[in-house]
Amino acid sequence: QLVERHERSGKMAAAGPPRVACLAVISRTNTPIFLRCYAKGVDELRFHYIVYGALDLFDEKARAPTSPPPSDGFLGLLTPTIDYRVYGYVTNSHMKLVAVVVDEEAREQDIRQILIQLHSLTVDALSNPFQVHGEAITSRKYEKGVQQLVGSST
Amino acid sequence: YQRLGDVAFNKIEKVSGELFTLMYGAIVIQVLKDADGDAEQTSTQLEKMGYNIGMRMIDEFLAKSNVTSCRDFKETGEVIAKVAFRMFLGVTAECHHSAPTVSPPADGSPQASSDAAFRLVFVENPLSEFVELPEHCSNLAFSNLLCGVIRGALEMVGMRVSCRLVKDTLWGDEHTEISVVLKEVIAEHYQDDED
Repeated sequence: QLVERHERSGKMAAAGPPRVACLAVISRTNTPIFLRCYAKGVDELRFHYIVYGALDLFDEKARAPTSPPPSDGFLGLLTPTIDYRVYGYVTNSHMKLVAVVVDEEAREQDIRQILIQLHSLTVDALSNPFQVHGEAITSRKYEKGVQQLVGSST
Repeated sequence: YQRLGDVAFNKIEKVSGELFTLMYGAIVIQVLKDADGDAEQTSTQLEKMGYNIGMRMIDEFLAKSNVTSCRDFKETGEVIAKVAFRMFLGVTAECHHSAPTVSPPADGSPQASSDAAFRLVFVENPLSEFVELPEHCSNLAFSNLLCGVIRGALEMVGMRVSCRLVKDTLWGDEHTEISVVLKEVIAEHYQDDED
């Protein structure tokens, strides 16, 4: 059955952009910098659990080097939960970016792009001298930027 | 003057724009901290710092930019906007000449009958790239350093001006605007060596 599903997704015409349910940015000390849920009608707490659960997997992936080592920090699929797929991305400064995606046919390339752009937006927000590193990002420009990023995919 | 500005910009040594922006941001944060979060005091401090920079910068400007003396205050404004801004900040400003201010000056001094004045208007500001002012200092004049620089530089060439940040994109305005008002042309005092 698993093989069937895989084949089917391969045959499908280019899947639409992935539907992002949640995006999160976690600092190197595992404090949340940013977490937004975009799935309507789902309890936000559920995503908190999913994201924090995924944090351990970042360390696992770091300890077991994949071959070839990723060039940009995209760790790929961390864990499939019942309804979602969780993707991870780690930056050079050990910030962890997490994307929780709905679609099963989502292309890794699309997710990778989303996380790369999230990284870029985060860097801009952190360049604000008033932004304290390690604290939550409160920039409205950042919110809007991320909203657009998700909006382009929903 | 646009051309003079471009030439000067091309000649002058460059530093990384991001380094400049981040450095200025760090300075503002530190001054704010030293002033215990007082935005107005910080704005004043930034202006003072700018003043010290400006009085030293004017020599470099005159040496490297090849501008000749300005015929009137209007031209001064054009030179600052098109040449100085381009040379030191990499952006070009527009110079708008306004009617003399009608409201009486705050310090109660008798108003000059017609204050020569101009407004420097610019959209891009390398000092405040990436910056968003938080709620508790939303009235901070982040780029006040520029006002000080202009004041210091002009004083060294014989003009006493008052310089004020009137609009700022950080305050939600559509552009940043600095108002420069000529207060006094400083008469040169020549010491008589004979006595």
